[in-house]
Amino acid sequence: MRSFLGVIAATSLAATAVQAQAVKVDPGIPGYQKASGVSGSITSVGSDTMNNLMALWGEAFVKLYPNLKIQVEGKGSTTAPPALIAGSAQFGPMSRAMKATEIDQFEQKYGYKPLQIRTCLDALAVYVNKDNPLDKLTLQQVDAIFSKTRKRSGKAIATWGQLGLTGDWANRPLSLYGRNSASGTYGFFKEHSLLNGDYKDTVKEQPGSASVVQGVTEDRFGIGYSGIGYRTSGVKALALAEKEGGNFSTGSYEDVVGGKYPLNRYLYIYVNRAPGKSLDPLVKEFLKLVLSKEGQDVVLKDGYLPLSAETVKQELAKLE
Amino acid sequence: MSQAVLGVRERVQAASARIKGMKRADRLATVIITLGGLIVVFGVLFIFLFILGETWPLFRGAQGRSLGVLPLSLPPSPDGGRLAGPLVLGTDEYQMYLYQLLDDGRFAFYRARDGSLARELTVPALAGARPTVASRSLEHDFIAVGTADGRVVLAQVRFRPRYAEAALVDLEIELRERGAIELDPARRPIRLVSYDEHEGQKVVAAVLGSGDIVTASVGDDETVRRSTVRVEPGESVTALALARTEGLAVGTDRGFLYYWELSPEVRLASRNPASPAPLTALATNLGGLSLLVGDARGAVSAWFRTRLQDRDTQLALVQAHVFPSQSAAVTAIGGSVRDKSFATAAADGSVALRHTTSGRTLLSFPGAGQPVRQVLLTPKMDGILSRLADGGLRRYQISSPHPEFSWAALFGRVWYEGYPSAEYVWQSTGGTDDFEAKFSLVPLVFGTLKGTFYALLFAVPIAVFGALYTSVFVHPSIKAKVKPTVEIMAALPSVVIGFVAGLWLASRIETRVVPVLAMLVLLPLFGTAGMLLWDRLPRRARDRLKPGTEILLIVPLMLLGALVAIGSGPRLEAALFDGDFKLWLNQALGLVYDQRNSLVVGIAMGFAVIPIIFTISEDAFSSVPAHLSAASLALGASRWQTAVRVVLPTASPGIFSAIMIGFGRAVGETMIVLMATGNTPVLDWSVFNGMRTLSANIAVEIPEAPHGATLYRVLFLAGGVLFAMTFAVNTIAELVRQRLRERYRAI
Repeated sequence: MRSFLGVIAATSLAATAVQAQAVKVDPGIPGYQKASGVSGSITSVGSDTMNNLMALWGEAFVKLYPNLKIQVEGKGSTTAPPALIAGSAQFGPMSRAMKATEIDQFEQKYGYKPLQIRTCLDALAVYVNKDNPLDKLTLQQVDAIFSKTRKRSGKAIATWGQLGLTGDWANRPLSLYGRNSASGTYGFFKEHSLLNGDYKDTVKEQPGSASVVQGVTEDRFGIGYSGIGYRTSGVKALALAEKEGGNFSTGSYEDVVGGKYPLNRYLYIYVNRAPGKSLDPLVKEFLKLVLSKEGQDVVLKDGYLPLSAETVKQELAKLE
Repeated sequence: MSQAVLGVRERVQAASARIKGMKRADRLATVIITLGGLIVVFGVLFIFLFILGETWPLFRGAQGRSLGVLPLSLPPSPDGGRLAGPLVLGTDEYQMYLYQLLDDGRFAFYRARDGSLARELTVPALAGARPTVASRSLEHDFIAVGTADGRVVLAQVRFRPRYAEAALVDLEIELRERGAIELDPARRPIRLVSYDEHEGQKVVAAVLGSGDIVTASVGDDETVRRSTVRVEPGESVTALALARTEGLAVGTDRGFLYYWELSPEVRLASRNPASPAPLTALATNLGGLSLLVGDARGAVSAWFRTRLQDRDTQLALVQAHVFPSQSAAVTAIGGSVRDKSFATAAADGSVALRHTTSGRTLLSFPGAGQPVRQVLLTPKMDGILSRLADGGLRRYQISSPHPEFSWAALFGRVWYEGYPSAEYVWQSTGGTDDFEAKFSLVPLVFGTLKGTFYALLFAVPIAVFGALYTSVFVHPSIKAKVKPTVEIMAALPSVVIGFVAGLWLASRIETRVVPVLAMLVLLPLFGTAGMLLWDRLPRRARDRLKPGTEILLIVPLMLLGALVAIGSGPRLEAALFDGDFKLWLNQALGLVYDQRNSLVVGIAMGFAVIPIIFTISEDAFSSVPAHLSAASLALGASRWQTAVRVVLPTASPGIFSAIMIGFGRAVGETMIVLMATGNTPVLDWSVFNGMRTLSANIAVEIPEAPHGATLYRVLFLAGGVLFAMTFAVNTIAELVRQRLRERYRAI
């Protein structure tokens, strides 16, 4: 029994080691230096995808400055701009870049544009049930599965047989899962996989990234898209390629950073910063923590991918 | 004696005081009840007015007015020559500056507030060349200048805001050269040009003096791919526009509309007769999907490419929207960078603001006779600029916050970009600004009715017959336990029901569809069998038991029925459906079994409405006067005859209102449908797929809707529709109930 446990411990340790080896925070990113005179409260309203991340950063921040209060609300990226405009939040985490109309509304109130900070990388995965024999898809197939307008001009795909599966799977219809339209994930997937085409009406809209994964876990013939950080043992993330004959990639860090994985994106935090004025020290310190080694470690812990030292440098420059 | 008299008087006084007190209490109660009623009425009225207030701006339409003509002086030409007129017109997003390209190659920047010249800039590659024609891309101000010697010079105008004290004070102007391309080795002049960039790829298309159309695309590595195409002999090109970097549209003097695909290679995709008159203006709207075509008669239409049949791989160019004509030949079209609006201008100076998706003309301004050369919708959609042939610039101030709204868009079929035909679609949000919002309420109203229908199908028989049984057949002591138990069901929060239904019930039913369907048949069968069996029991045995004890026989039999259904499920499935119901469903009936479907919602929502229908029906049955049923029984009618012929008709007004209240509850139910369906806006009665209801849709989308935007207001309108639906149903229900009550009052 003891040896059995030992084996498990060793394997899990080995697994962690492998993971740690695979993705590490860029050593060029400096550690966080504690500042003085930071107090008050922080409110963040925005992306559901980044909810956990914001909470973890907040936790790390409170550990450094114990008399702070932090409140994180995550109902969807589209909720961030109104909160920033109304001034009810200092941080607007968004899993997509702001749209021009949203920037317009911000500008109408303040006369300048909001400040965009890239915080980390995320990749979207297309998940199938763990029992599904399928391993990979091209984006044209993804488009043909999820879209009714099929901008990538593939043939419509309704059954697993059309994706090359045989036997029991061949005549089974696909059961589609996706995010609700408030999420940045919905918009990002629409823009990059569907080339701004329209989703089929039969895509079941789930209120959170985890419930997409849950849906696919429960549904043997399910397929859905969600953040790669939400992978569980009940589902399988498919390898994706831009086109037939291209390189299929499962969304490893190297592939995402090297631009080889087709569905990756930055996750942003938007803040209100008047041009020519310095940022509120509280806001600035929080963003500095996010862009430090400690902050990027949190990113890794939550299943997302850290920024390169070069990007961190660019983002830090925006804070000054 | 006097004491007695006194006593009587006192007693009368005391009594009258008591009556006075009671009357006072009565009056107080009347006031309170009236007040309460008024508050309810005002509350409902307030909600109604609030919804109306939030949706009102949708109906106001676009507003606009002319701000007059701004004279833009042409700066003196350095060589003293006469300038023929500017070639392109542009502005920044704050409308602080306007710029024009003059036909000697200089870019003149004016202050928009007074038209004074602010700066002049040039591109080195234009030095010494004579520009003949120029174009400006819809987004990012990419400018292409065609010259008299067969070259195209590319440039970009950029504005960068400068702030002081957190306020915008000025813009920095930058003119970037983007290269030059020799299009014609024979150095003939360029007649028409169009240029755009997308993801590092530059594409230029131009018409040479010979009538040849030359396209050139420049990739990341600066390699130029050229190709030359032609229109049919006898036709001459009159208008040209790139559809992003993917296609090239060309209009001719014979009214034909050509479309060439540019990637992977240049290929003529279609040639459509678009008009009997020459095509005079051509542009794309935001996103580059729709081609906006204007002709010499003033007709305006929108075209896009789509598959006409779902299995087609080839795209066909179709005319999707036809707009009311302009009063003279269309001379210029300018798209919006915010939405699918565009402005058209004509040879008589008239200008119109239109919207592609809704096919509406939002605003139109009459002209003063001067032809318009260029028309521009300002980047923030707050103005239209039209440059007249005499060099003057007419400015309009517009406000068009909800161009995509119309009744036809909400309740009619709309032909959206890329769709094979006009359809009812709800898909309100996209990732980018060029997304065409689709606001059809039809699938949502349909989904609401569908969910309600299946819920009532499940709930009404159980609740009404349950109530009839409990009130007529069961011993009062059992009834006293049954009724509160059912009412406790109503205390279950609907979010819990939805949660259980969505995460637990849906996947359980999915693996046991045939047993569940078999149960629908077997349970009533076994129940009936139980009653028949009870009837066969010796009378003496039955009389000794309380009425209602038959349940002790029927319930085990029904449980047996359920077990039989579960046990025989696989065999039934093998015998009737080739061993796999879902596969059979798909192949034989073409239906798809979805895990989150109407069956699950029907059961879950039925569960939620059963208590309310049961309670009100039971009250209705119980309030049937006892003398009626007693008389019926005394005259020799059986209990069943009494129940069906006497109790049921007398209680029918109450039952009707119970069902209607259940209907109202199911229509407005949100959490169950939200969690137990996939919120799929399908138009399909199939019980095996889901739905998207009005209420769930509001709950899903209101957090994301930007305050004051069209979606936000349309969601309020959807709330209004929901309100109107329940209001109508309740009113009809009340009227019918009154009528029925009138009819049975005699009894």
